[in-house]
Amino acid sequence: MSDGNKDGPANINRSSAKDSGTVLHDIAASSQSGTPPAPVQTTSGRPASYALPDANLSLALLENSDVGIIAIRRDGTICFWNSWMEQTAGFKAADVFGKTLNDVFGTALPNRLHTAIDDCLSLGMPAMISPSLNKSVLPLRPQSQFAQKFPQMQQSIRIQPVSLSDEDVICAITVRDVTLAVQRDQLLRRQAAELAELVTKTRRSEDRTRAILQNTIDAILVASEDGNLEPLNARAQELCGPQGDPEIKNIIQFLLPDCGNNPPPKPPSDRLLTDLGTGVIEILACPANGHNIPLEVAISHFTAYGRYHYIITLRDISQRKRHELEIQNTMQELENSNAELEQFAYAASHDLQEPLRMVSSYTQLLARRYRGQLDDTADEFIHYAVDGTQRMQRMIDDLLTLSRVGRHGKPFQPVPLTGLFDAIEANLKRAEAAPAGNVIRQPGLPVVTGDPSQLLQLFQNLVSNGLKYSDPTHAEVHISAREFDSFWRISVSDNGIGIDPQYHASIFEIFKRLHGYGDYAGTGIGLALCKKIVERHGGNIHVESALGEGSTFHVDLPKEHNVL
Amino acid sequence: MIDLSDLERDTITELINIGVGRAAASLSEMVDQSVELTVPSISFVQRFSDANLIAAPGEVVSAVTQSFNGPFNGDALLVFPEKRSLELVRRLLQVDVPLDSLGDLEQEALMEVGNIILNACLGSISNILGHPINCSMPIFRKCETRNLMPDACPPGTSETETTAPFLLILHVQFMLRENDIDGYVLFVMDLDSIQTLKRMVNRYLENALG
Repeated sequence: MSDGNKDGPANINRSSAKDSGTVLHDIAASSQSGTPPAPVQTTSGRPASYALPDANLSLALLENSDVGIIAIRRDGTICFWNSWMEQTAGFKAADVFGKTLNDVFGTALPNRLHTAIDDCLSLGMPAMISPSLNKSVLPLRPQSQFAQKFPQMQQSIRIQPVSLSDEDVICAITVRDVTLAVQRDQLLRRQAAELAELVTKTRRSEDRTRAILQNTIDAILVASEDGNLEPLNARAQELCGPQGDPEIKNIIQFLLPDCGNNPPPKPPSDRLLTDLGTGVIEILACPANGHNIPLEVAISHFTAYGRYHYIITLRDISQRKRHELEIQNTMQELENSNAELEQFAYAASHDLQEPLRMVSSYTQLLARRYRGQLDDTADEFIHYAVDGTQRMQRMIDDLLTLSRVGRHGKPFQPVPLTGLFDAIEANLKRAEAAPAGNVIRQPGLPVVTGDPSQLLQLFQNLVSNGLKYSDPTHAEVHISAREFDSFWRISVSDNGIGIDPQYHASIFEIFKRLHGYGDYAGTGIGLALCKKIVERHGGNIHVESALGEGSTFHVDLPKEHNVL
Repeated sequence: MIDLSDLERDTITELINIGVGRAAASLSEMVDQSVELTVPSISFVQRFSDANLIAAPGEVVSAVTQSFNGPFNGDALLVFPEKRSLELVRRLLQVDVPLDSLGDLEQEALMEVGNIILNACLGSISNILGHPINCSMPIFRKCETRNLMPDACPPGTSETETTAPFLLILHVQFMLRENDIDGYVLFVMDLDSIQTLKRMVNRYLENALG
């Protein structure tokens, strides 16, 4: 011991190890001078007038302290054990005096405690034992409210030497209950962990959203109520940036439904590709660094934090525009070529008529004048020649009719089918092609839209076909109509010879004939003409039939005609 | 300036290494994982400003201080940059939740670590030199490096060799879960104390060497 500590007062020496009360008196007295450095000093250096506290008072204070207090002698035996210790450890002071801590608790106490006590007694070193680094040093009962989660009390322990004399030192152990603090710490940690996890999740989700936004091919911008535009992704920044189009923001602001009190000026017409009423907005961006880009603009809105925002999506439609242009060109070419074809067919058939008429006239002349004057074979040959020219004449007439369908079409108008079929029946009667009563109509035929004369041609062809390919005595043709959502289906059925399904598609081809000329008359143009008329009306024609079971031709005519 | 012979310096280093080794064993057992402690360097400086520690005077450090008296008096400090101290406690306690500063319980844990290391160093010296050293309970402080030594003379005032405290600085390295955490142990003593220590070391050497 240093010189400063050698002159302990006489009363320390007087204390007897057997009389724990006296020892306590000394501890109580010395604990008043609690300033470091420790060990706790005895009363040396105190003013003489300083009154020592009453020993019993000190003892009572220690006894009733709200911390656990244990004192241990050099030999390891317990010489003080206050009531707090009695309650939490469950051992009465009288039962522990003279025993070691191991004797009392009967379990192996941690080495840390033993080492600290040894160091304290042999070297005078104070120690602290924290609850975090040491789990429940002494097996003490926790307060009842913690009992469920903490089987043992969480403790913070201080160990310090108390000198009784030069030679005699005891070890004072102070135990504080920090279970509440540990519980709070665990709660804090759990909440911090949850928070950290939440932050991580939020960040991850945010990163994902941002990545999606950034990597979207469309340019996306957001506009706040005041019309301020903010590019949200890389593509938008590119378009609005220094290398982009300086005008684009003005154009977008012009397009927003309500862009504040000062609407921006209308952009030049070459920048707005579509009329504003049509619902599709297409604009032309002219970036500083490259080709012009046609963009489709979509505007949606949302409300965030009580403020209205617009989301503007700009989609590059260069590709689409290019395709549209290609289709337009192809259409134009197709139309040109169709017109040429029609022109050719018309010219050809028209110009063919002239020499044919001459051949026809002279063969007929031959037939009339020289019948019976030449031999029978010559008469037969002349007959074939006349017949051939007549067929040729009909084919050319039909070809002309066919070529006129596209070129000489009349504007569409409502056509009552009842009247139409009246006219057809009248025509057939005049041509003596049909006995009365074999064309049976469903009552209440609708009014359709189309070119009246072409529709007449169409249905007259179908009806006379029906009659032609049937047994003339029992021939019956039924006309019916059925309404669908967008079109009328007019059906013409007969009870004739029927058509083998393998020919159902090819019968509509021009000059297609399934039978020899001698069996059934006709040029093979009739159904081609029907098909062409139906197509001009934007409709469809098809046949349902089987050999020997009659045929039904269905004509679908749209109710509304798109403006072509 | 204090003069230490190589032998004296080696002896002090040895004593400290014994203590630190004991502290490491004790910590390893407590936290149930391998804790290695090494002291790569020991130096004596006279002014705090001479120490490498002061390189970042504004750095916030956590310090556990224990005063001691006996044959020689002074303060013993275990010092970590605050971030390193957080890391150390978290590795010892094996918790992964990052809090921004030391909580009460973490602070107490760090105090215990300081207590164990400082006690071990002082105890080792005391034990071998055969003189008990009285120690105070550890105190925890968080401050900037430059305020670590409140007694150090403010810049500008004349500092005489007799009043300025001497510093024995141990660079301590913690090896925990394959990570190094660097800290310092400082012994701050006045000239008398350091001469007492030197005398006692010499007496020990005389006895030991016969």
